[in-house]
Amino acid sequence: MQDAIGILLLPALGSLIAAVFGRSLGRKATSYVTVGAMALAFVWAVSVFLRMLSLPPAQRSFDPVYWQWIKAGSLSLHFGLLIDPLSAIFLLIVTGIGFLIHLYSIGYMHDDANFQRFFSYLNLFAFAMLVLVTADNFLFLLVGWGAVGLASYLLIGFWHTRPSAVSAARKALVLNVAGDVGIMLAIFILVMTLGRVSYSGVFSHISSLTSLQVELIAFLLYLGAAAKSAQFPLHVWLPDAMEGPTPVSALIHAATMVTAGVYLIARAYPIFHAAPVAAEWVAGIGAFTALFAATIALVQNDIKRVIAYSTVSQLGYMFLAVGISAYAAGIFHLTMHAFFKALLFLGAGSVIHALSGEQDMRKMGGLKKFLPITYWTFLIGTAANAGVPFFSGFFSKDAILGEALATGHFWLWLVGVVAAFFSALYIFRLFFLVFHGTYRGDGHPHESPPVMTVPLVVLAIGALLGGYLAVPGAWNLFDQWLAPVYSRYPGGLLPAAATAPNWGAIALTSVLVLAAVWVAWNLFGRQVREELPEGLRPIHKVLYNKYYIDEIGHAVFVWTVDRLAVLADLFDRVVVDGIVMGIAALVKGWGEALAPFQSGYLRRYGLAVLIGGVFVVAYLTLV
Amino acid sequence: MVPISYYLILSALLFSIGTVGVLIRRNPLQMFMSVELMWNAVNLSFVAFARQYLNMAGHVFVFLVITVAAAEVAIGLAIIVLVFRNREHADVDELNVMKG
Amino acid sequence: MLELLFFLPIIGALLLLLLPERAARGGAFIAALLTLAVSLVLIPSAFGHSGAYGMLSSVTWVEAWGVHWALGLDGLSLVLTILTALVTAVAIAWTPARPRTYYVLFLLLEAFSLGTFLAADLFVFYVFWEAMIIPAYLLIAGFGGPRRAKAAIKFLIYSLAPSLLMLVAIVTLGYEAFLQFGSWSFSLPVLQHLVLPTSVQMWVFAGFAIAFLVKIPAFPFHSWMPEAYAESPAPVTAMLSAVLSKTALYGFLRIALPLMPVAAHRFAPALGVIALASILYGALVALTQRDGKLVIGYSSLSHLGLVLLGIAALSYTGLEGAVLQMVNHGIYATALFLLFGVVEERMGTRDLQAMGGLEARGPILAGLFLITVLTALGLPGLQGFAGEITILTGVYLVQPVWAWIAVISVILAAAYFIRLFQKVAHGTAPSTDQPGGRPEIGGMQIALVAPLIVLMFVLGLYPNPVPRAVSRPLKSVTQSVGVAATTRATATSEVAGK
Repeated sequence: MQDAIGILLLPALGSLIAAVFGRSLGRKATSYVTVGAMALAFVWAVSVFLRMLSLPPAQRSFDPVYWQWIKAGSLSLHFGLLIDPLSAIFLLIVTGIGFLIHLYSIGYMHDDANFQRFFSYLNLFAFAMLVLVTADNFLFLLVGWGAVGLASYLLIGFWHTRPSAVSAARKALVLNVAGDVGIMLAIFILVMTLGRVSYSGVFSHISSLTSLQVELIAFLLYLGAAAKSAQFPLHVWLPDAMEGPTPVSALIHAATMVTAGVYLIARAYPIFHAAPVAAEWVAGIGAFTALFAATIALVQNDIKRVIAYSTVSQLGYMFLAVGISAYAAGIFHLTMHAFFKALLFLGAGSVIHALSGEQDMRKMGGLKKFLPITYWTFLIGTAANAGVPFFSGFFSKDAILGEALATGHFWLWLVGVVAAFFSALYIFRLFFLVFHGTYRGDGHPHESPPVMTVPLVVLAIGALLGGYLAVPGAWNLFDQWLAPVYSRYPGGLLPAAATAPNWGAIALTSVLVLAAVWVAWNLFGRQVREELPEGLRPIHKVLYNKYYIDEIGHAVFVWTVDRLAVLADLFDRVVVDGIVMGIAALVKGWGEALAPFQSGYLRRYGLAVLIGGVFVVAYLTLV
Repeated sequence: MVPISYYLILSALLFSIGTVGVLIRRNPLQMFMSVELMWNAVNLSFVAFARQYLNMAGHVFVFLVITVAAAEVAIGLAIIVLVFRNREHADVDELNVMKG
Repeated sequence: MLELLFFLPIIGALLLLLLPERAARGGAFIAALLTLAVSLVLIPSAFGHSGAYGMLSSVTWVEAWGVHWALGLDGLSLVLTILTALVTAVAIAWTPARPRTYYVLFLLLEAFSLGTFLAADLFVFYVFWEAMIIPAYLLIAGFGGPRRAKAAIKFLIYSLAPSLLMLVAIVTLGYEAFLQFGSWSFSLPVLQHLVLPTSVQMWVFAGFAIAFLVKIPAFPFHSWMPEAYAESPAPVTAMLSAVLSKTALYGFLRIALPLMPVAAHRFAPALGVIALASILYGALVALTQRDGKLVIGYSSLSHLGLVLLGIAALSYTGLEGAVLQMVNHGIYATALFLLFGVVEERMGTRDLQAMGGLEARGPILAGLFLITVLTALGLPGLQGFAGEITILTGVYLVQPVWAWIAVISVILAAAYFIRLFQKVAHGTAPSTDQPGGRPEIGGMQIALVAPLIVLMFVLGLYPNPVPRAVSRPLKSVTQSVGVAATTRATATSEVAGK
């Protein structure tokens, strides 16, 4: 598996070529190079996957080491890759869905002046994510982690003439860097206590740490994961990140970036197993985020903003899963989510493209007849996101909820079920507002070109059929595939009883979801309700303003840092410069006091010499 | 033989005249001449003492002084000429750019 | 060979006087390139010998005082020599059409900086340390901005006054050598064998430390920096920040720590506090500056504070990280100042509130600037990160609290550097923007900055050569200091990676 580094190098090379030679190559050649790089990387990843499949499960883990990164005293780090079933899934998601998004971008970005730069960034984004998921130690995980943050910064701020895009990009980067620092601190503690940062080295020596140390490491890792994966209250950057071009949103929300946090916890499960408090925390905040974001998504009017909050909510489910050690279920939901979320975003992009940039759902409606392909694929994505029975989201979400109930997390399960109801409600609200009723805008909608609709169809097939990888009560290919990863260290696998289907719970959520669809149809499908009942207005206002989290965060952090910085600047000018200037003034004062003696009259100097001489002689003779 | 006190009195007189000249004259050339007078007053006492104690060191010092004085005059005159060229006069009271 | 390295820029400077005015830039560039070539040729010989220096040439200079003209090359001086030669070569050719004097002074500045890094005799070190001030002063005073006179005087006084303390310290060491060995000596290898009473060590260390702290600069000795950095032309600022500050940090490693080990331990907490203050203070002030050049200047204060922290921790890993970060900072600070200089020239202002629109008008310049900014803020995978993590790890092994505090600056660095980049690149172009001129960077300048950019990536993905090059000199430093932390470090030396 030494050759797996090629999967990483392809997009890196593509990005470099597009950045350096993009202008001379022209648009077409650039898109061939970058999209081709992703296609090749996908083929390569598939070949890795197939080779892995042909081996017995116990031998499906490879750890090729390439070079020594640094050796400085007690610090010694290597660059190596870890290719195992878990990273193989991510290789496939990142390259596969990444490739479809690349392809779609050719159409979507067709008229953009900075076409080549965009594709260079896209390749860079994929490369960074690949580094993140294949690194065999926490340090290079962090390298990928930081590079993902950078690429997202570049892409979110891609339309840099828009002030909102610029501030969204900055917000994303600063919050992500705060998360990076969490991981960096975790690495420090690992180096300090174990002297190791490689996964295998750390995981096999966890027992030598005190429980306090493990909890601290777990919380710091969680800080990084929560920032990247938009967990409450660090989620504020993600909805703003839709300021980037829509394919970027798809890439961030589906294939790369936000899944990194789930990957980190799923990868570092031995740490979280040894840190029960942190794990409970992960699950609790996850469930809360799922519900919290779902309620916000209920009232937003911007099509992309609804989908963005839906991502935050779905990520909450994934964190709920990995927090209760249901790792395979969490990764399963992540994979399904990658399909339907990419589908929803690209579908939304298709709608926005058709309406020449309109994103307000109040000015859409009745698009079913203008955009038939988008309509049908979007319907599949909507059903999957809502967890309508027999679509992919249904299988993966119910796996998580079932395991939450089976492991005794009743309250988390309950929150998850309520969130599931809201999920179905907000996403069908969006669907009916956009595609049903009558068209409320004044443009001329048109279906998108094939280069954009083909990815939609492919993704729709995934969102439709992907769930059948794990049918409750029948088979679970996902658990089987990941078993070698999670059986290596203690704490990876749930007891068999926990993974058995709970038919009652499944029936309950199914009924709730269908009820939500019915409510949505009555409220938004048949005709749009403009007026809200009086009693609901304050709630609507709070939800619409996203519980004022942005404002609170701004007040607390930005204000504090600004004041501190102003204080330091004042200190520099008043105290430090004051002392220096004081010394200077002292010297100057002495100089001025002594200056009159320098009269400039030569003969006066001569007289002074004479008098001095007389005094010296007098002293020598008399004393 | 003339007693040494005579030489010393003459030397002191010459030195005083030179000192007064330096202090009251405003023309740098005249000040120079006064300084020369002071040099030579000192030289005179050197030679007188050398004869009194039969020690040649005094003569050596005189030669040194004469050499240095010659060099000093050469440079000093050059400066004066330059000042005169730049200012059209050489009044030392007007040369006060170094006033603090 | 060592003499050649030192004298090449001086010969170059003298020959420049014979060249016609318009050939001065080319001539100076060739001289700087030759120096760089010689420094690269010397790489193998830095590791040849088994003695303290890989290469040492010593001639008696003033016999009565035991002064030797001694230049020595080992891994530590080698990396800084190469850095100096590289930075000079890039900076000297950066701006076109300066008077001949500018290039002469620039080459002299290079020669004296090289002299400081190569000196194997304290007297020689002192001579170059002082000599360095003269061309730097003249460059600021002669070619700076509108308030250059004040800036230059401030720089001069700040540089000269503490140097006198250093002179006293050096003479004390020479006298101690006379007392203990019967003859005066300033040779570094000889002085290694001195056994100094603690009180003497304290005073001598303080003398050196103050001179070094001012030159770095570290809080609260930094107030010459804003004016000197702001008023100097960009290439001179780059030299001040990238090379001259390193002579002071190098002084700690080469002189202050190994010769005064007891004092080093006693002063380490104070140095650590100064370093932490510089780190946080520089970062916070950088956040508020309106002058973009000063944002970079204060970021240097913060980053060099981190290097100082790595030294003050007195752990081997910390020292390795410090040297690595010195090299890293030299490279990205040069690129930052030079590129920002071009931006300033194009926009006609340095006021961040007024600047903007670079990304649209000069995408290549904006791209290069972005890579540099990201390197400086310590993005993993680029050069700045490796040094940061090594220093912080080294500090963590000894003083965990320091490391925690220093880490805050990583977040702040992201904030102020991103702010700097966004103010410059986004938004609309300022009204002072040169209307007819090209907003883009010139081809010559791309070629000059390209090696720096490449190094940012190479040393980010494979920083190991630097720690390897300096491992022997630093091991001997840690041996002399008797690093208290080694016991703790060896406990975890079975380490990491695999």
